[in-house]
Order: sequence, then C-alpha cells, then structure tokens
Amino acid sequence: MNLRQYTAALIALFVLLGITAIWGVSQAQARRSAEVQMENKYNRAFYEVMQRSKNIEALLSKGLASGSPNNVDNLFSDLWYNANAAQENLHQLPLSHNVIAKTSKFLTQVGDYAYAITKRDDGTKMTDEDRSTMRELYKTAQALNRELTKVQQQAAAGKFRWSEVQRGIRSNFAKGSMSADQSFRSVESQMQELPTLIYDGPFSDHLERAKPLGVTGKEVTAEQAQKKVRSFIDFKGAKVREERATGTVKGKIPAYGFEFRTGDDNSPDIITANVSKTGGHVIYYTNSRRVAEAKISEAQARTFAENFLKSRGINNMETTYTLKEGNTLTVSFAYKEGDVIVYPDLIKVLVALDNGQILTYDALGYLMSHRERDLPQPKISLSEARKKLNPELEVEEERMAVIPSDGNHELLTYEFKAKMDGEDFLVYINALTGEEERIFKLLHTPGGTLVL
Amino acid sequence: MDMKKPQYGLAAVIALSLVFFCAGYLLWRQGGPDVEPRVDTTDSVAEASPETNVDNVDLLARVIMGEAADEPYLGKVAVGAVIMNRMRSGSFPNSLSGVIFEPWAFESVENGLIWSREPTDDCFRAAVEALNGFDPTYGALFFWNPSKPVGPWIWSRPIITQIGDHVFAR
Repeated sequence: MNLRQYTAALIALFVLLGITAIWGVSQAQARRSAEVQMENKYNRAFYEVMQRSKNIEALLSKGLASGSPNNVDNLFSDLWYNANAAQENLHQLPLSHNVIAKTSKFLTQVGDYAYAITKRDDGTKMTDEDRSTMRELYKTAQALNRELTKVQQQAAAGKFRWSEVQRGIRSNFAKGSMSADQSFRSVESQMQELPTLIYDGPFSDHLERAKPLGVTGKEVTAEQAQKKVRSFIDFKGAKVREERATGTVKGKIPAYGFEFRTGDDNSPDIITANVSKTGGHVIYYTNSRRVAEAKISEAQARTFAENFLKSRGINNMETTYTLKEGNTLTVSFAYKEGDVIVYPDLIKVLVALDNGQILTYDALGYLMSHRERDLPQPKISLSEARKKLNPELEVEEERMAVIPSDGNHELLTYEFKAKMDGEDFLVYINALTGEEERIFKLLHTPGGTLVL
Repeated sequence: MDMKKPQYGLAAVIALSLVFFCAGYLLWRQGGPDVEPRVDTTDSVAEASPETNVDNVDLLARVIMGEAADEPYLGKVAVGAVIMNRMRSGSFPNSLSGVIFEPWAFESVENGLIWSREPTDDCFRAAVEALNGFDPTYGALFFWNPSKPVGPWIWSRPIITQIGDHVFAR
C-alpha cells in the first residue's frame, strides 16, 4: 500500500468515525432531553397532587368551621374539584397500583362524598354524623400531606428519580437511594384506617356490596342448569357438536359456566354461558360466530329480539333503544311495571343481522335489580311536573320512569321527551320532589340514537 | 497484481465501515418502539354505546387487540369489561383514557403495541359489547395469565373466574 492510498483509507475511516460520533452524541442528547421531559412531566403531576392535597386539607377544615350552609356548598364543590384533580394527577405518576390504590380511593371518596352532601335535597345541612366523618377525612388529609412532603424531600434530595424507576434499573442505584414505589409506600400506609363511606354517590362503599335482588328460587344442580341453558340459547338450528361445564364462577351472582360448540371443526363457534346456582337463571350467554353480511332490516332484528325474550318467558319488557354496529344490532330492554318503565331492570340482546340469531343475551343488570317494587305514590301530578320544565322545551312524549340515582338508589320520575332548537332531549322530573334529576341529549346517528 | 492488492485493502476498509454504519443505522431504527401513525378507523365504527363516544370504541378495541389478541371472543369482552370496571372504581382513574394510559397498567400500551396492530372485527365487537355494559367478569379489576410471572401481591386478590388463558379478580 502506498502512502496516498493509506492516507485515503485513513481519511475515509476518520470521516466515518466522525459521522458515527456526531450521530452518537445527538442520540445521547435526544435521549437526555426526552428523559428530562419525562421527569418534568412526572414532577408536574407530583407537585399538582401535593398542591391539590393541601387545598383539600384547607377546604375540609374550612367546611367544618363554616356556619353557613351556602358557603359549605361552595367549599365542598371546590373540594370535589380539587380531589378530582389530585386523583387524576396521582394516576399519571409511574407507580405500582398497590402503592397508590388506597390514596386514590381516599381522594375519589373525599370529593365524591363532599359533592353528595352539596346535592342533598333537604337544605344541605350537614348531620352530626357527616361532621364526624368529615373530621376523620380531615385527619387523613393531614397525614397524607405530611407523607407527601416526605416524598417531595426525598425527590429533591435526589434519592430517587421518577423516570429511573420507569426503566427499572435498580442495581445501579447509589447507597441510600430508593425507588419511587418505595418512597410512596409510606403514603399508602397512612391510608389504612379510612372510614367506610356510605352516601348517594357513584363511589360509595355500599355499591361494592350490592346483592342480586332478582336472583330468586331454589338451588339447582349443574346438570339442571346445563339443561336449562341448552334450551335457552338461540342455536338457530346449528348442531351442537360439543358441550361441557367449565366450572363455577365466584362473581356477584354465584354461577355455573358452560360452553357449547357449533359450526365446523376447523373454526367452531363457541357459545359461553353462565347460569345462577340459585334459581337457575341464565345470567348471560354469548356466541363468537362471525356475522356475514346483513340480510335483515333493523326492524326485523328488533322483532327477533322481542320474540326471543317472549319465547323464553321473560315478559313485560319494553325496547328502550337499539344501536347498529357492523352487522349486529344491540337491542336494550327495560322492565315495565304497569305504565312505569323501570330502567335499572335492564336486559341487552345482540342480534346478528345476517340471520336474526341472538348472539348475546345479558341479564346481569336485570338480575341485580329486579324485584317486586312498592312504587311510591307521586306527590306531584304530570301537569305540575311539566311546569317545572324549561319553558323553551316542546314536549313530545311523556311517561313515568324509575331511574337509578348516582348511588344506585331508585327515583320515581316523569320522563319527558322534548325538543329545543331542533335537538332532542330526555328530561326527568322527580315525581315526589319536583326536582329536575337528569337531562340527556339524544344524538341521532345512522346506527341509532346515542344518549349523551 | 501487486498494484491491486492495496486497492482491495482500501475497498475492504470502506466496505466494512459501510456495513457497520448500515448495521448501526438499522439497529437505531429498530431501537425505539416502531410507532406507526394512528389510522383513523372511525368510519368503520360509526356507532358507539350511549353515554360514551365513537372514539372510545376504537381505543378500547386497540387495547383489547394488544392484551387479548389470542384469547377467545369472551376473553376479549372480559378484558374490555375490566377497563370499564376500573373507570367505575374509586382507586383507578375515572375516564377511559385515564385507565388505559395509566403508567404500568397495560403492557401493550407501555410497549406501543396498541398502535402497531389494527384490531380485528371481533375486537371491535368486544369493545362495543363492553362499552354497552356487558361484563362476564362480574366487576373484575385485574386480569393476568397464571402461567406467566406476575407480581406476588396480585395473587392475594379474590379470583372470580378464568376465561381463556386469563384469570379475572377483584
């Protein structure tokens, strides 16, 4: 090799090395910048949690000190907002669920509970019980803030970095360092003694312990249950090639599981079903069959769904809405007691639009809430209720309806379907108090009506 | 012949460098999760359930695809139902996107898999049924594959049922 060629080779090598070095440095910079951005994002969320949590503590204390129900309303609405913001930000931190679950629940409930108090119809007075619960929540909030401050000090002292935990490199840690999970564990330990909160809100503790009211009758054996569900499922003439019990299910309604196979061997259609041990009620079944192109109309599908329920001895059900998705139609039914539609007693059916087969039957809602109801006498008349409506609404239909409240209690209401500026609404006026309880906007799409 | 040998040497150096360079470039390309631009499939999913909106079907179908692509149909609905149940639980975020994008919550969200695969038809049907309130898990908040390693604390949860390869627990 002569000198020129040697030099040329060296230059080429150095140029390539240079390019590689520049590329490497730019990669490292990009990575560092991404890391800093992540770290900033996590710190923003953490400081947000801290600030909101301090606000919660102050608002609880102000609420306890206030003598004006109106001002308590304002403070508690503020509390609800701050608690929501704290909870939302807490879940943006890269922490394991088991170190934030109770803190998260505390934040959800403290806001939800305060909000439920402000919404009470009876003059919004806090009872003595509410006050003592609020005191306990206040103590918990104080403890939470003490612990959050410790986490913040540990973060500021460089004992952990949020994004370092995320990469899971724990072995490289310097002595005395910890993970964010470890740091947060002490926060969670302060949340062990939360009071059980029962109130009219969506996150009240009583909802988790709801009992199935519609599951009546005697215990049935697995064989009886299997026989029952075999005659219940809409096989549409398909031959059952295989059927088996899949064991028991320990859900809200103790049940037997079954599986049926139809169709050809290569791609069988699997039908899965659950039947309650008490009374042998079919809780749900669903068929995995792929639906071919739609051949029947939505109106025909609706008739298939209605006839299916009737033939299975489920009576007094009224279609409340339908929704088309792909080649299937979901048909929703609610129980009708006399002239009153009872929305909590809900059954949903999915109809295949190729042959009208009932692919899914889901009666969990119905079985959880259906019972003989002793509906109260309305205290206000239909015409009085109509006067409570916004005068701009043009009423098109009206009837009585039972609707669930946030806390899953039931409210007897007048339901008005009404129009304003060409848009449709459903308005519910409480038949006992005359309060407007709910308002839904109806959105008409090609597939059906959405309730917003 | 003698004259050509050094030129071979030069060519070899350059060729080798190019090979390394290309290999490095390819490695770099594959390094990050290959996130493809999101394909808007809302046209094919024109409908959603009441109280939810159209985009939710697409997002939920993607997570179902990411978490339960090889599961039976009911197992797909069940994964969708767990996400819906988390929304209603006080110890999880209370929005669909909050639950789905919570750090550590779903592997297929963490590694970007939900954006790289288009959900199949039965993922869409499962998403619609889950959004409609169909819950074959009776309120489960967790699911895992018992044949894969999971954190020890998760086994302390009361198991409700097994569907396909996943167990579902409160």
